[in-house]
Amino acid sequence: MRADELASGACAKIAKIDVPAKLHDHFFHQGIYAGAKICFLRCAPLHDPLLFEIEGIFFAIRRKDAHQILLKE
Amino acid sequence: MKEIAFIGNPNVGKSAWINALAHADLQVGNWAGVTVAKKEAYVNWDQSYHLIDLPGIYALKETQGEEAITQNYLKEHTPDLIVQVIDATDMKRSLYLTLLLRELQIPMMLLLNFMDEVEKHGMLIETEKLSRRLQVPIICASALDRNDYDKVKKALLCHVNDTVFYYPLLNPLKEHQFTQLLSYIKSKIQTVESDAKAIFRLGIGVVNEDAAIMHHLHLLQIDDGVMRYQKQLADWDQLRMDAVESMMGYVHADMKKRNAFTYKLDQILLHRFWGLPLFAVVFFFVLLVIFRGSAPWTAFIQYLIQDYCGAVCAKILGDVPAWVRALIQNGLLAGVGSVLSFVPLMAYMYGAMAVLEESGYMARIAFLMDRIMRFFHLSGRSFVAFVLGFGCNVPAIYATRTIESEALRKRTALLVPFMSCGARLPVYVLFAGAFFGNQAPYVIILLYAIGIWIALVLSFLLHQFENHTTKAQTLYLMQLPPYRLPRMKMIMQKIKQEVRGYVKKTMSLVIWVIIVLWALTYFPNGSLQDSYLAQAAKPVSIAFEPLGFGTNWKSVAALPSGIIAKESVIGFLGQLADASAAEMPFVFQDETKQLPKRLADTFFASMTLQGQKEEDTTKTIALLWHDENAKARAFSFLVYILLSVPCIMTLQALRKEYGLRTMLASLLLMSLLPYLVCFLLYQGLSLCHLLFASL
Repeated sequence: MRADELASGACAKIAKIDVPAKLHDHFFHQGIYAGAKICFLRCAPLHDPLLFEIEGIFFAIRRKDAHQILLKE
Repeated sequence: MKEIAFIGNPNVGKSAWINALAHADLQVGNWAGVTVAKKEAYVNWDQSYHLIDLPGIYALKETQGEEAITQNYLKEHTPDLIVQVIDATDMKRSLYLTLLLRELQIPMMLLLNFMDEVEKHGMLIETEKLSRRLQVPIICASALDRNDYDKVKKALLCHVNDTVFYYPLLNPLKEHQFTQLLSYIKSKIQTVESDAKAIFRLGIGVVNEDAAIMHHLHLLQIDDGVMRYQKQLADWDQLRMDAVESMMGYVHADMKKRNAFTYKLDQILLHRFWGLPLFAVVFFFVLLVIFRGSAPWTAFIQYLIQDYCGAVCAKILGDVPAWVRALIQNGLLAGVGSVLSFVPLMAYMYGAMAVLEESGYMARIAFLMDRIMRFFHLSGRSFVAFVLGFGCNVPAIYATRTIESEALRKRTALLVPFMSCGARLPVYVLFAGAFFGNQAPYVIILLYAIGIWIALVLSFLLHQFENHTTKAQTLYLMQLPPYRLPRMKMIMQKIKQEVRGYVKKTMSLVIWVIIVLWALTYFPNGSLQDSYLAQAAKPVSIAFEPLGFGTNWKSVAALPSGIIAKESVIGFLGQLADASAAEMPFVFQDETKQLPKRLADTFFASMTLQGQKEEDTTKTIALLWHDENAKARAFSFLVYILLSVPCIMTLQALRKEYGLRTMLASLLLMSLLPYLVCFLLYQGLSLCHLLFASL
């Protein structure tokens, strides 16, 4: 399952962030890493970007990037 | 002199603290952009200290953007003390940075900020245990509590002389492996570099795969030997995260409680249907407050400097040569007066921006607008830069640093000057007021809209010229801070800083422009029509006749002054207007008695958002053009001001951020475009007028 497929209000744990090595640090340093708890809150008026709560911090992530966040079943 | 560096994640309140500790000694770099300036201060406590505030970072690996500034600073300087400012309500990410900073082996102190919120949300942080574990002193404080300032200052003085050696926080196996690595390095290196800290640094460089250190080891021919250890400790970053996780055991926080208010408010402000319309309403309201709230103050200051002080000067000067009197009254006072009179507008503008930032709404604006912006090949963050640009273009250009891709950054920066900055507003207000009377506000809104529309169209065009082969590896990851009630104190601080910068710039730059321009309008013989400026402007203005406004040379003459600073246009036109203003009798005693009442009236008018009553200067501006096409000419002039070359400070910012080529591109774009657009506009308008007149 991927982050952009979460239902509104649903939570899960991140399994893997499927991005090139260069971008990995961007996620990691902001507190988004494998094992972190992620909840989907809402999407913007035009369905993009998506608002997540990850380990208590609110993040806006575009749909195509959220698609790269794989979740644990 | 001892150096104390303030480091931390973005938005933890570093600036608030350095402000609190340094007070009036704070020096801010020329333009205090939102998160950019290297704020520093030289203070004298028990001895001299250099305090420096570095841009927010999450880690030390970044090689570009703001974070690189901090990274490079730490490479080149070794502060005597690092104060890591931490948002106590968001400890996890800060603790990661703490571990990174400890590896530098520079004495550290943690300053837990936002303690007022910690209390409010019933959080508990076992600071003693944390401090012992980290070997770092921890002090808890809130930047809003004056009593805490002394506490923090004492702690700084206490720890600035510490000598430390921080051990990495590892499990026994990894600790053993790391110690082996250090022993290996020590055994291979000659005595010169056998200092414990130096060896430690080399060891850290190995596990971090730091290129510089690996190269150094290569020169010492031990880089092959350390490979084995490097492989063993390849999960160093994960080890740090493990350490952070274990330390979070000392932090007892209920994130749900802290975020409760934000959840609720976001339901409304980020609503699927109502989010955007609400934003439009908020935006409109903010503009209303800015313009209507500041206008009475503007009028008051204009009165105070030009009329009141003007009369004082006249009395004091008495019998001086006519040109001296003219220089002081029509040159200095009139010019400076008109420019300074817009300080209220600046103050309101920066205040509004600060409120949007502090409350957390600014990030939501980017969130709401991102999809729409992407239609124009821009980004939600571009929109934030544009919004800032309505205040002043310079911080807006620096704000483009946070945008995801280089090409996008450049393009946004080129488009920022199309957002009508606060300095252009006085020109709009004057002209629209003079030529369009009651419809002035609509004309002004139309101007803003034209600027935005042209910027968006250009975005499309410029996007076509960009290199599409590199399928942009862009990542949009924007943190939305929890909603916070903006504190008056912080807002006032920000306003004070910006206004100070504005006034300084006015005094140093604009004043000379005004004096020079005044001289050009006065000499050779005191008559405006014969002046040097008129002689130069008249032939040039012929080129501007097809644009409508060239029929009066004064408008063309005012244009170059806009390159120095957009406000100069007003100062300049103010002088031209004064030359033909009728002398009104000024009874000094009466006016002085009236002063308090005037002040009170101004205050009231400002609070009730009444805006400005008609001004004398408006009447004289209205004389610039007076044929049946006067309105079209005025409008064309305004559009020209809107689109023409940005002020020197903006060009400078472009050059600093994006290089000479980008600056020249902007120069070219905003010289040719206004001519073309105004030409078409005026010709079109006068044609319509003709058609309608004949109907």
